[in-house]
Amino acid sequence: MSVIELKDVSVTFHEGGRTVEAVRNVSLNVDKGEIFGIVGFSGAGKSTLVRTINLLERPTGGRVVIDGMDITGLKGADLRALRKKIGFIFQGFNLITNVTVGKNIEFALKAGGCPKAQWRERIRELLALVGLENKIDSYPSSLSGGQKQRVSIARALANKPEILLCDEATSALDLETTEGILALLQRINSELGITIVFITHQLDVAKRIFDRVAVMENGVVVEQGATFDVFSTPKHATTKALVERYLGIAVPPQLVPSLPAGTIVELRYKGSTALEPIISQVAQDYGVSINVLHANVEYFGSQAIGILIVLVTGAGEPLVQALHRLKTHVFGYRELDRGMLSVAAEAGQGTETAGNEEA
Amino acid sequence: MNETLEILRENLGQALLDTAYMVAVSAVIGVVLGTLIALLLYLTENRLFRPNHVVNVIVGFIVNAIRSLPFLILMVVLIPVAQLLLGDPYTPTGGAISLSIAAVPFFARIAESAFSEVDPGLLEAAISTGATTRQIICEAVFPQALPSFIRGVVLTIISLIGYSAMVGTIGAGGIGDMAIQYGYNRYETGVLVAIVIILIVIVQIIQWIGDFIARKVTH
Repeated sequence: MSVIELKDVSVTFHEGGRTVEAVRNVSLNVDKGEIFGIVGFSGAGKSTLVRTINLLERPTGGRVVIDGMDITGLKGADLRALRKKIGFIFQGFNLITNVTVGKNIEFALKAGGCPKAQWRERIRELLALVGLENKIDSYPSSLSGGQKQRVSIARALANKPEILLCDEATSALDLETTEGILALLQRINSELGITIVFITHQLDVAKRIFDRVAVMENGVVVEQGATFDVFSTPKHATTKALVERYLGIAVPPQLVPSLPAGTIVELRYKGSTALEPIISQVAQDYGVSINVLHANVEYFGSQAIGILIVLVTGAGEPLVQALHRLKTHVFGYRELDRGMLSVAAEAGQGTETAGNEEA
Repeated sequence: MNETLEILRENLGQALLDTAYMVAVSAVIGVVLGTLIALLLYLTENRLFRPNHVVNVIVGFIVNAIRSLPFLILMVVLIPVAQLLLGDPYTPTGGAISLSIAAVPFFARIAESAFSEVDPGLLEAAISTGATTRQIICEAVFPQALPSFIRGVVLTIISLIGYSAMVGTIGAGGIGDMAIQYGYNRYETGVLVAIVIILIVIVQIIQWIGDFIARKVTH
Protein backbone atom coordinates (compact mmCIF):
# COMPACT_ATOMS: atom_id res chain seq x y z
CA MET A 1 0.00 0.00 0.00
CA SER A 2 1.21 3.45 -0.84
CA VAL A 3 1.84 5.51 2.24
CA ILE A 4 2.62 8.63 0.22
CA GLU A 5 0.92 9.50 -3.04
CA LEU A 6 1.82 12.61 -4.95
CA LYS A 7 -0.76 13.26 -7.63
CA ASP A 8 0.13 15.73 -10.33
CA VAL A 9 1.90 17.99 -7.82
CA SER A 10 3.17 21.35 -9.00
CA VAL A 11 4.87 24.15 -7.08
CA THR A 12 5.19 27.55 -8.66
CA PHE A 13 6.98 30.47 -7.04
CA HIS A 14 6.49 34.10 -7.87
CA GLU A 15 9.59 36.10 -7.22
CA GLY A 16 9.54 39.74 -8.16
CA GLY A 17 7.43 39.33 -11.28
CA ARG A 18 9.30 36.18 -12.27
CA THR A 19 7.55 32.84 -12.19
CA VAL A 20 9.57 29.78 -11.29
CA GLU A 21 8.04 26.36 -11.78
CA ALA A 22 10.08 24.43 -9.22
CA VAL A 23 7.99 21.29 -9.49
CA ARG A 24 5.83 20.40 -12.47
CA ASN A 25 3.09 17.78 -12.45
CA VAL A 26 4.92 15.18 -10.44
CA SER A 27 3.12 11.96 -9.64
CA LEU A 28 4.69 9.24 -7.60
CA ASN A 29 3.84 6.67 -4.95
CA VAL A 30 5.95 5.62 -2.02
CA ASP A 31 5.14 2.23 -0.55
CA LYS A 32 4.97 1.50 3.12
CA GLY A 33 8.29 0.45 4.60
CA GLU A 34 10.47 1.22 1.60
CA ILE A 35 13.36 3.61 1.17
CA PHE A 36 12.42 5.77 -1.76
CA GLY A 37 15.01 8.04 -3.29
CA ILE A 38 14.77 11.14 -5.40
CA VAL A 39 17.95 12.03 -7.22
CA GLY A 40 18.89 14.81 -9.57
CA PHE A 41 21.37 17.62 -9.98
CA SER A 42 20.99 20.64 -7.75
CA GLY A 43 18.15 22.93 -8.77
CA ALA A 44 16.09 20.04 -10.12
CA GLY A 45 13.29 20.69 -7.62
CA LYS A 46 13.97 17.75 -5.31
CA SER A 47 13.98 19.78 -2.09
CA THR A 48 10.81 21.59 -3.03
CA LEU A 49 9.09 18.32 -3.89
CA VAL A 50 10.01 16.59 -0.63
CA ARG A 51 8.77 19.64 1.29
CA THR A 52 5.30 19.21 -0.15
CA ILE A 53 4.99 15.91 1.70
CA ASN A 54 4.67 17.66 5.08
CA LEU A 55 3.42 20.89 3.52
CA LEU A 56 6.48 22.96 4.40
CA GLU A 57 5.85 23.86 0.78
CA ARG A 58 2.24 24.07 -0.30
CA PRO A 59 1.64 22.64 -3.74
CA THR A 60 0.13 25.18 -6.13
CA GLY A 61 -1.41 22.30 -8.05
CA GLY A 62 -2.19 18.63 -7.53
CA ARG A 63 -2.73 16.64 -4.36
CA VAL A 64 -0.67 15.08 -1.63
CA VAL A 65 -2.18 11.96 -0.08
CA ILE A 66 -0.75 10.40 3.08
CA ASP A 67 -2.14 7.07 4.29
CA GLY A 68 -5.05 7.48 1.94
CA MET A 69 -5.98 10.91 3.27
CA ASP A 70 -5.76 14.01 1.12
CA ILE A 71 -3.70 16.43 3.20
CA THR A 72 -3.22 19.17 0.62
CA GLY A 73 -5.61 21.57 2.31
CA LEU A 74 -4.77 20.82 5.94
CA LYS A 75 -4.34 23.76 8.30
CA GLY A 76 -3.79 24.53 11.96
CA ALA A 77 -4.08 21.70 14.45
CA ASP A 78 -4.76 19.08 11.76
CA LEU A 79 -1.60 20.06 9.92
CA ARG A 80 0.44 19.96 13.13
CA ALA A 81 -0.96 16.50 13.90
CA LEU A 82 0.10 15.34 10.43
CA ARG A 83 3.61 16.73 10.88
CA LYS A 84 4.06 14.71 14.05
CA LYS A 85 3.73 11.59 11.91
CA ILE A 86 6.44 12.79 9.53
CA GLY A 87 10.03 13.27 10.68
CA PHE A 88 12.33 15.52 8.67
CA ILE A 89 16.11 15.69 8.64
CA PHE A 90 18.18 18.21 6.73
CA GLN A 91 21.59 18.70 5.17
CA GLY A 92 22.42 21.45 7.67
CA PHE A 93 21.09 19.49 10.70
CA ASN A 94 19.14 22.59 11.80
CA LEU A 95 19.53 22.08 15.52
CA ILE A 96 18.85 24.85 18.02
CA THR A 97 22.50 25.57 18.76
CA ASN A 98 21.95 27.61 21.93
CA VAL A 99 20.27 24.78 23.82
CA THR A 100 21.53 21.30 24.70
CA VAL A 101 21.06 18.10 22.73
CA GLY A 102 18.49 16.96 25.29
CA LYS A 103 16.54 20.21 24.94
CA ASN A 104 16.54 19.89 21.17
CA ILE A 105 14.83 16.52 21.43
CA GLU A 106 12.59 17.76 24.21
CA PHE A 107 11.36 20.44 21.82
CA ALA A 108 9.94 17.76 19.53
CA LEU A 109 8.54 15.69 22.42
CA LYS A 110 6.73 18.72 23.75
CA ALA A 111 5.42 19.54 20.29
CA GLY A 112 4.15 15.98 20.02
CA GLY A 113 2.28 16.17 23.31
CA CYS A 114 4.43 13.60 25.11
CA PRO A 115 3.75 13.84 28.88
CA LYS A 116 6.47 15.77 30.67
CA ALA A 117 7.16 12.91 33.09
CA GLN A 118 8.32 10.76 30.18
CA TRP A 119 10.61 13.27 28.50
CA ARG A 120 13.81 12.27 30.23
CA GLU A 121 13.29 8.59 29.53
CA ARG A 122 12.28 9.13 25.90
CA ILE A 123 15.30 11.36 25.31
CA ARG A 124 17.55 8.63 26.70
CA GLU A 125 15.88 6.02 24.50
CA LEU A 126 16.24 8.15 21.40
CA LEU A 127 19.86 9.03 22.09
CA ALA A 128 20.61 5.37 22.71
CA LEU A 129 19.02 4.53 19.36
CA VAL A 130 21.35 6.91 17.54
CA GLY A 131 24.36 5.99 19.68
CA LEU A 132 24.80 9.24 21.62
CA GLU A 133 23.70 8.27 25.14
CA ASN A 134 26.29 10.44 26.84
CA LYS A 135 25.60 13.63 24.90
CA ILE A 136 22.32 14.63 26.50
CA ASP A 137 23.77 17.74 28.17
CA SER A 138 26.21 18.67 25.40
CA TYR A 139 25.66 21.65 23.14
CA PRO A 140 25.51 20.98 19.40
CA SER A 141 28.64 23.07 18.79
CA SER A 142 30.70 20.46 20.63
CA LEU A 143 29.52 17.67 18.29
CA SER A 144 30.90 16.53 14.95
CA GLY A 145 28.78 16.73 11.80
CA GLY A 146 27.82 13.07 12.01
CA GLN A 147 26.83 13.42 15.65
CA LYS A 148 24.73 16.50 14.89
CA GLN A 149 22.92 14.54 12.21
CA ARG A 150 22.33 11.74 14.71
CA VAL A 151 20.78 14.23 17.11
CA SER A 152 18.56 15.54 14.34
CA ILE A 153 17.52 11.96 13.54
CA ALA A 154 16.69 11.43 17.23
CA ARG A 155 14.63 14.62 17.16
CA ALA A 156 12.86 13.54 13.97
CA LEU A 157 11.96 10.19 15.54
CA ALA A 158 10.79 11.69 18.84
CA ASN A 159 7.11 11.49 17.97
CA LYS A 160 7.30 7.96 16.52
CA PRO A 161 6.69 9.01 12.94
CA GLU A 162 5.63 6.65 10.15
CA ILE A 163 7.61 8.55 7.58
CA LEU A 164 11.08 10.08 7.66
CA LEU A 165 11.99 12.68 5.04
CA CYS A 166 15.69 13.26 4.41
CA ASP A 167 16.81 16.30 2.47
CA GLU A 168 20.44 15.77 1.38
CA ALA A 169 20.95 14.39 4.88
CA THR A 170 24.47 13.14 4.18
CA SER A 171 25.68 15.76 1.72
CA ALA A 172 27.54 17.77 4.35
CA LEU A 173 29.30 14.70 5.77
CA ASP A 174 32.47 12.88 4.81
CA LEU A 175 32.35 9.39 3.35
CA GLU A 176 32.89 7.46 6.54
CA THR A 177 30.35 9.47 8.50
CA THR A 178 27.88 9.14 5.62
CA GLU A 179 28.28 5.39 5.82
CA GLY A 180 27.39 5.44 9.54
CA ILE A 181 24.34 7.63 9.01
CA LEU A 182 23.12 5.44 6.14
CA ALA A 183 23.53 2.32 8.27
CA LEU A 184 21.53 4.00 11.01
CA LEU A 185 18.77 5.00 8.58
CA GLN A 186 18.64 1.47 7.21
CA ARG A 187 18.28 0.13 10.72
CA ILE A 188 15.52 2.62 11.47
CA ASN A 189 13.82 1.55 8.27
CA SER A 190 14.01 -2.17 8.92
CA GLU A 191 13.60 -2.26 12.71
CA LEU A 192 11.04 0.47 13.20
CA GLY A 193 9.37 0.01 9.82
CA ILE A 194 9.60 3.72 9.06
CA THR A 195 9.15 4.63 5.42
CA ILE A 196 12.01 6.84 4.24
CA VAL A 197 12.01 9.36 1.43
CA PHE A 198 15.57 10.48 0.77
CA ILE A 199 16.64 13.12 -1.68
CA THR A 200 20.23 13.43 -2.75
CA HIS A 201 22.56 14.22 -5.60
CA GLN A 202 24.97 11.55 -4.34
CA LEU A 203 24.63 8.30 -6.25
CA ASP A 204 26.75 6.63 -3.61
CA VAL A 205 23.85 7.08 -1.24
CA ALA A 206 21.31 6.07 -3.87
CA LYS A 207 22.92 2.78 -4.74
CA ARG A 208 23.58 1.99 -1.10
CA ILE A 209 20.10 2.27 0.40
CA PHE A 210 17.35 3.09 -2.09
CA ASP A 211 14.80 0.44 -2.93
CA ARG A 212 13.25 2.58 -5.61
CA VAL A 213 14.30 5.85 -7.11
CA ALA A 214 12.91 8.76 -9.07
CA VAL A 215 15.15 10.98 -11.16
CA MET A 216 14.26 14.67 -11.33
CA GLU A 217 15.25 17.33 -13.80
CA ASN A 218 13.80 20.82 -14.16
CA GLY A 219 10.96 20.09 -11.77
CA VAL A 220 9.88 16.96 -13.60
CA VAL A 221 10.34 13.30 -12.68
CA VAL A 222 11.96 11.95 -15.82
CA GLU A 223 12.39 8.37 -14.78
CA GLN A 224 11.48 6.13 -11.86
CA GLY A 225 11.66 2.51 -10.90
CA ALA A 226 13.71 -0.02 -8.96
CA THR A 227 17.11 1.47 -8.22
CA PHE A 228 19.13 -1.12 -10.07
CA ASP A 229 16.95 -0.97 -13.16
CA VAL A 230 17.04 2.80 -13.34
CA PHE A 231 20.82 3.03 -13.01
CA SER A 232 21.76 -0.01 -15.03
CA THR A 233 19.52 0.92 -17.93
CA PRO A 234 19.28 4.70 -17.76
CA LYS A 235 16.84 5.93 -20.36
CA HIS A 236 16.70 9.66 -19.85
CA ALA A 237 19.67 11.92 -20.57
CA THR A 238 19.74 13.17 -16.98
CA THR A 239 19.91 9.67 -15.56
CA LYS A 240 22.63 8.82 -18.03
CA ALA A 241 24.56 11.92 -17.04
CA LEU A 242 24.22 11.08 -13.33
CA VAL A 243 25.36 7.52 -13.85
CA GLU A 244 28.16 8.60 -16.17
CA ARG A 245 29.46 11.11 -13.70
CA TYR A 246 29.16 8.64 -10.90
CA LEU A 247 30.89 5.73 -12.55
CA GLY A 248 33.54 8.25 -13.51
CA ILE A 249 34.76 6.27 -16.47
CA ALA A 250 37.44 8.13 -18.32
CA VAL A 251 40.81 7.35 -19.75
CA PRO A 252 43.36 9.82 -18.45
CA PRO A 253 43.84 12.22 -21.40
CA GLN A 254 47.60 12.25 -21.09
CA LEU A 255 47.53 8.50 -21.64
CA VAL A 256 45.65 8.66 -24.93
CA PRO A 257 48.54 9.68 -27.25
CA SER A 258 50.77 6.94 -25.92
CA LEU A 259 48.27 4.14 -26.55
CA PRO A 260 49.16 1.69 -29.29
CA ALA A 261 47.01 1.62 -32.41
CA GLY A 262 43.68 -0.13 -32.04
CA THR A 263 40.03 0.44 -31.31
CA ILE A 264 39.00 1.80 -27.95
CA VAL A 265 35.68 0.33 -26.85
CA GLU A 266 33.49 0.94 -23.85
CA LEU A 267 31.68 -2.18 -22.69
CA ARG A 268 28.95 -2.36 -20.09
CA TYR A 269 27.50 -5.28 -18.33
CA LYS A 270 25.00 -5.71 -15.58
CA GLY A 271 23.68 -8.23 -13.16
CA SER A 272 25.38 -11.54 -12.98
CA THR A 273 26.91 -11.46 -16.47
CA ALA A 274 30.64 -11.48 -16.10
CA LEU A 275 32.73 -10.05 -18.89
CA GLU A 276 36.08 -11.67 -18.39
CA PRO A 277 35.21 -15.03 -19.98
CA ILE A 278 33.83 -13.30 -23.08
CA ILE A 279 36.88 -11.08 -23.41
CA SER A 280 39.35 -13.89 -23.16
CA GLN A 281 37.18 -16.06 -25.42
CA VAL A 282 37.00 -13.35 -28.08
CA ALA A 283 40.74 -12.69 -27.87
CA GLN A 284 41.43 -16.36 -28.27
CA ASP A 285 38.94 -17.05 -31.05
CA TYR A 286 39.90 -14.14 -33.31
CA GLY A 287 43.56 -13.71 -32.48
CA VAL A 288 43.16 -10.11 -31.33
CA SER A 289 44.60 -8.64 -28.16
CA ILE A 290 42.32 -6.94 -25.69
CA ASN A 291 43.78 -4.68 -23.01
CA VAL A 292 41.68 -3.30 -20.20
CA LEU A 293 42.39 0.43 -19.83
CA HIS A 294 39.87 1.21 -17.16
CA ALA A 295 37.31 -0.74 -15.25
CA ASN A 296 34.69 0.10 -12.72
CA VAL A 297 32.14 -2.10 -11.04
CA GLU A 298 29.46 -0.71 -8.79
CA TYR A 299 27.08 -2.75 -6.74
CA PHE A 300 23.51 -1.58 -6.40
CA GLY A 301 22.31 -3.71 -3.55
CA SER A 302 23.43 -7.17 -4.61
CA GLN A 303 23.53 -6.44 -8.31
CA ALA A 304 26.46 -5.05 -10.23
CA ILE A 305 26.85 -2.57 -13.03
CA GLY A 306 30.24 -2.73 -14.69
CA ILE A 307 31.94 -0.57 -17.25
CA LEU A 308 35.16 -1.53 -18.97
CA ILE A 309 37.19 0.48 -21.40
CA VAL A 310 39.29 -1.82 -23.51
CA LEU A 311 41.78 -1.38 -26.31
CA VAL A 312 41.26 -3.98 -29.01
CA THR A 313 44.27 -4.48 -31.28
CA GLY A 314 44.15 -6.61 -34.38
CA ALA A 315 43.69 -6.37 -38.11
CA GLY A 316 41.29 -7.03 -40.94
CA GLU A 317 38.30 -9.34 -40.82
CA PRO A 318 39.14 -10.98 -37.45
CA LEU A 319 39.04 -7.55 -35.76
CA VAL A 320 35.65 -6.74 -37.27
CA GLN A 321 34.32 -10.12 -36.20
CA ALA A 322 35.81 -9.77 -32.73
CA LEU A 323 34.14 -6.40 -32.23
CA HIS A 324 30.85 -7.78 -33.51
CA ARG A 325 31.04 -10.69 -31.11
CA LEU A 326 31.69 -8.32 -28.20
CA LYS A 327 28.85 -6.08 -29.31
CA THR A 328 26.32 -8.88 -29.31
CA HIS A 329 27.40 -10.29 -25.97
CA VAL A 330 27.48 -7.25 -23.78
CA PHE A 331 24.78 -5.04 -22.46
CA GLY A 332 26.30 -1.80 -23.70
CA TYR A 333 28.81 -1.24 -26.48
CA ARG A 334 30.34 1.99 -27.68
CA GLU A 335 33.44 2.63 -29.75
CA LEU A 336 35.28 5.69 -28.54
CA ASP A 337 37.03 8.18 -30.76
CA ARG A 338 40.53 9.00 -29.55
CA GLY A 339 40.25 12.71 -30.15
CA MET A 340 36.91 12.85 -28.39
CA LEU A 341 38.25 10.75 -25.57
CA SER A 342 40.84 13.22 -24.43
CA VAL A 343 38.37 16.08 -24.74
CA ALA A 344 35.64 14.14 -22.99
CA ALA A 345 38.00 13.17 -20.23
CA GLU A 346 38.88 16.79 -19.60
CA ALA A 347 35.23 17.82 -19.68
CA GLY A 348 34.45 14.93 -17.36
CA GLN A 349 37.00 16.15 -14.88
CA GLY A 350 35.51 19.62 -15.10
CA THR A 351 32.06 18.43 -14.13
CA GLU A 352 33.53 16.28 -11.40
CA THR A 353 35.02 19.35 -9.78
CA ALA A 354 31.73 21.20 -10.06
CA GLY A 355 30.03 18.27 -8.38
CA ASN A 356 32.40 18.34 -5.47
CA GLU A 357 31.91 22.03 -4.88
CA GLU A 358 28.21 21.54 -4.84
CA ALA A 359 28.56 18.85 -2.19
CA MET B 1 36.68 73.46 43.59
CA ASN B 2 34.71 73.47 46.80
CA GLU B 3 31.78 74.98 45.01
CA THR B 4 31.96 72.24 42.37
CA LEU B 5 31.93 69.57 45.03
CA GLU B 6 29.07 71.31 46.74
CA ILE B 7 26.99 71.32 43.54
CA LEU B 8 27.78 67.67 42.89
CA ARG B 9 26.92 66.69 46.43
CA GLU B 10 23.61 68.48 46.37
CA ASN B 11 22.44 67.55 42.88
CA LEU B 12 24.24 64.54 41.51
CA GLY B 13 22.36 61.89 43.48
CA GLN B 14 18.94 63.13 42.41
CA ALA B 15 20.10 63.66 38.83
CA LEU B 16 21.40 60.11 38.58
CA LEU B 17 18.18 58.75 40.09
CA ASP B 18 16.08 60.73 37.62
CA THR B 19 18.17 59.53 34.69
CA ALA B 20 18.08 55.95 35.94
CA TYR B 21 14.32 56.22 36.34
CA MET B 22 13.76 57.61 32.85
CA VAL B 23 16.10 55.11 31.23
CA ALA B 24 14.75 52.14 33.16
CA VAL B 25 11.09 52.93 32.46
CA SER B 26 11.67 53.62 28.79
CA ALA B 27 13.99 50.62 28.34
CA VAL B 28 11.45 48.24 29.86
CA ILE B 29 8.61 49.67 27.80
CA GLY B 30 10.81 49.80 24.71
CA VAL B 31 11.97 46.21 25.05
CA VAL B 32 8.54 44.76 25.89
CA LEU B 33 6.49 46.62 23.29
CA GLY B 34 9.36 46.63 20.80
CA THR B 35 9.63 42.85 21.05
CA LEU B 36 5.90 42.44 20.48
CA ILE B 37 6.01 44.69 17.42
CA ALA B 38 9.11 42.87 16.19
CA LEU B 39 7.25 39.56 16.51
CA LEU B 40 4.34 40.98 14.56
CA LEU B 41 6.70 42.15 11.81
CA TYR B 42 8.60 38.87 11.84
CA LEU B 43 5.55 36.61 11.75
CA THR B 44 3.80 38.59 9.03
CA GLU B 45 6.96 38.80 6.94
CA ASN B 46 8.06 35.17 7.11
CA ARG B 47 6.36 32.86 4.62
CA LEU B 48 6.78 29.92 7.02
CA PHE B 49 4.50 31.61 9.57
CA ARG B 50 1.64 34.01 8.85
CA PRO B 51 2.65 36.03 5.83
CA ASN B 52 0.46 39.12 5.73
CA HIS B 53 1.83 41.78 3.50
CA VAL B 54 -0.73 44.45 4.40
CA VAL B 55 -0.18 44.24 8.16
CA ASN B 56 3.57 44.03 7.67
CA VAL B 57 3.69 47.12 5.49
CA ILE B 58 1.42 49.18 7.74
CA VAL B 59 3.26 48.30 10.96
CA GLY B 60 6.59 48.74 9.23
CA PHE B 61 5.51 52.18 8.01
CA ILE B 62 4.52 53.33 11.50
CA VAL B 63 7.81 52.09 12.95
CA ASN B 64 9.76 53.87 10.22
CA ALA B 65 7.74 57.03 10.59
CA ILE B 66 8.59 57.38 14.29
CA ARG B 67 12.18 56.40 13.68
CA SER B 68 12.57 58.97 10.94
CA LEU B 69 12.03 61.81 13.42
CA PRO B 70 15.20 63.02 15.11
CA PHE B 71 14.71 62.54 18.83
CA LEU B 72 14.94 66.25 19.48
CA ILE B 73 11.87 66.81 17.30
CA LEU B 74 9.98 63.77 18.58
CA MET B 75 10.53 65.06 22.11
CA VAL B 76 9.08 68.48 21.32
CA VAL B 77 6.17 66.97 19.41
CA LEU B 78 5.34 64.79 22.42
CA ILE B 79 5.25 67.60 24.98
CA PRO B 80 1.47 68.07 24.53
CA VAL B 81 0.98 64.31 24.92
CA ALA B 82 2.84 64.32 28.22
CA GLN B 83 0.89 67.41 29.22
CA LEU B 84 -2.35 65.60 28.54
CA LEU B 85 -1.32 62.48 30.43
CA LEU B 86 0.47 64.03 33.37
CA GLY B 87 -0.59 67.62 33.62
CA ASP B 88 3.03 68.68 33.92
CA PRO B 89 5.26 67.39 31.12
CA TYR B 90 8.46 68.80 32.61
CA THR B 91 9.13 65.90 34.96
CA PRO B 92 11.16 62.71 34.73
CA THR B 93 7.94 60.83 33.96
CA GLY B 94 7.26 63.27 31.13
CA GLY B 95 10.75 62.54 29.86
CA ALA B 96 10.16 58.82 30.19
CA ILE B 97 7.09 59.09 27.96
CA SER B 98 8.96 60.56 25.03
CA LEU B 99 11.91 58.25 25.62
CA SER B 100 9.57 55.24 25.58
CA ILE B 101 7.96 56.30 22.36
CA ALA B 102 11.38 56.60 20.77
CA ALA B 103 12.58 53.33 22.30
CA VAL B 104 9.72 51.13 21.09
CA PRO B 105 10.33 51.40 17.32
CA PHE B 106 14.09 51.55 17.87
CA PHE B 107 14.11 48.26 19.72
CA ALA B 108 11.45 46.78 17.42
CA ARG B 109 13.85 47.00 14.47
CA ILE B 110 16.72 45.58 16.52
CA ALA B 111 14.66 42.65 17.78
CA GLU B 112 13.21 42.04 14.32
CA SER B 113 16.68 41.75 12.87
CA ALA B 114 17.75 39.46 15.74
CA PHE B 115 14.81 37.16 14.91
CA SER B 116 15.45 37.36 11.18
CA GLU B 117 19.02 36.20 11.66
CA VAL B 118 17.73 32.83 12.87
CA ASP B 119 18.45 30.24 10.20
CA PRO B 120 15.29 29.48 8.17
CA GLY B 121 16.38 25.84 8.19
CA LEU B 122 15.96 25.82 11.95
CA LEU B 123 12.41 27.10 11.50
CA GLU B 124 11.66 24.36 8.98
CA ALA B 125 12.97 21.76 11.42
CA ALA B 126 10.93 23.23 14.27
CA ILE B 127 7.78 23.44 12.15
CA SER B 128 8.30 19.86 11.00
CA THR B 129 8.02 18.61 14.58
CA GLY B 130 4.42 19.80 14.60
CA ALA B 131 5.12 22.52 17.16
CA THR B 132 2.80 25.49 17.51
CA THR B 133 3.98 28.93 16.43
CA ARG B 134 4.11 29.93 20.06
CA GLN B 135 6.41 27.06 20.96
CA ILE B 136 8.61 27.72 17.93
CA ILE B 137 9.01 31.38 18.85
CA CYS B 138 9.56 30.81 22.58
CA GLU B 139 11.73 27.71 22.47
CA ALA B 140 13.53 27.79 19.13
CA VAL B 141 13.66 31.30 17.69
CA PHE B 142 14.08 33.11 20.99
CA PRO B 143 16.98 31.06 22.43
CA GLN B 144 18.69 31.24 19.07
CA ALA B 145 18.21 35.02 18.79
CA LEU B 146 19.03 35.67 22.45
CA PRO B 147 22.67 36.81 22.07
CA SER B 148 21.73 39.39 19.39
CA PHE B 149 18.70 40.32 21.42
CA ILE B 150 20.79 41.04 24.52
CA ARG B 151 23.25 43.11 22.54
CA GLY B 152 20.26 45.02 21.20
CA VAL B 153 19.00 45.70 24.72
CA VAL B 154 22.42 47.09 25.66
CA LEU B 155 22.50 49.27 22.57
CA THR B 156 19.01 50.55 23.41
CA ILE B 157 19.87 51.34 27.03
CA ILE B 158 23.00 53.22 26.01
CA SER B 159 21.11 55.18 23.36
CA LEU B 160 18.43 56.00 25.93
CA ILE B 161 21.04 57.37 28.32
CA GLY B 162 22.08 59.71 25.52
CA TYR B 163 18.52 60.70 24.72
CA SER B 164 17.73 61.20 28.39
CA ALA B 165 20.26 64.03 28.47
CA MET B 166 18.23 65.66 25.71
CA VAL B 167 14.95 65.46 27.63
CA GLY B 168 16.90 66.92 30.52
CA THR B 169 17.50 70.08 28.52
CA ILE B 170 13.78 70.80 28.27
CA GLY B 171 13.32 70.37 31.98
CA ALA B 172 12.74 66.70 32.63
CA GLY B 173 15.68 66.56 35.01
CA GLY B 174 18.42 64.01 35.21
CA ILE B 175 22.09 64.09 34.55
CA GLY B 176 21.77 65.89 31.20
CA ASP B 177 19.77 68.65 32.82
CA MET B 178 22.48 69.02 35.45
CA ALA B 179 25.23 69.17 32.85
CA ILE B 180 23.45 71.96 30.99
CA GLN B 181 22.39 73.93 34.05
CA TYR B 182 25.69 73.92 35.87
CA GLY B 183 28.29 72.98 33.34
CA TYR B 184 26.99 75.06 30.45
CA ASN B 185 24.91 77.88 31.87
CA ARG B 186 27.04 78.46 34.95
CA TYR B 187 30.46 77.63 33.51
CA GLU B 188 31.09 74.96 36.14
CA THR B 189 33.61 73.01 34.09
CA GLY B 190 34.32 70.76 37.04
CA VAL B 191 30.70 69.59 37.10
CA LEU B 192 30.80 68.94 33.40
CA VAL B 193 33.99 66.91 33.66
CA ALA B 194 32.59 64.88 36.55
CA ILE B 195 29.43 64.10 34.58
CA VAL B 196 31.43 63.10 31.50
CA ILE B 197 33.50 60.68 33.58
CA ILE B 198 30.43 59.25 35.29
CA LEU B 199 28.71 58.71 31.93
CA ILE B 200 31.75 56.98 30.45
CA VAL B 201 31.98 54.66 33.44
CA ILE B 202 28.26 53.85 33.44
CA VAL B 203 28.18 53.11 29.71
CA GLN B 204 31.29 50.94 29.95
CA ILE B 205 29.82 48.94 32.80
CA ILE B 206 26.53 48.40 30.98
CA GLN B 207 28.34 47.34 27.82
CA TRP B 208 30.56 45.00 29.78
CA ILE B 209 27.66 43.35 31.58
CA GLY B 210 25.73 43.01 28.32
CA ASP B 211 28.64 41.41 26.49
CA PHE B 212 29.19 39.06 29.40
CA ILE B 213 25.57 37.87 29.37
CA ALA B 214 25.50 37.62 25.57
CA ARG B 215 28.57 35.39 25.66
CA LYS B 216 27.01 33.25 28.39
CA VAL B 217 23.97 32.46 26.27
CA THR B 218 25.92 31.77 23.06
CA HIS B 219 26.89 28.15 22.59
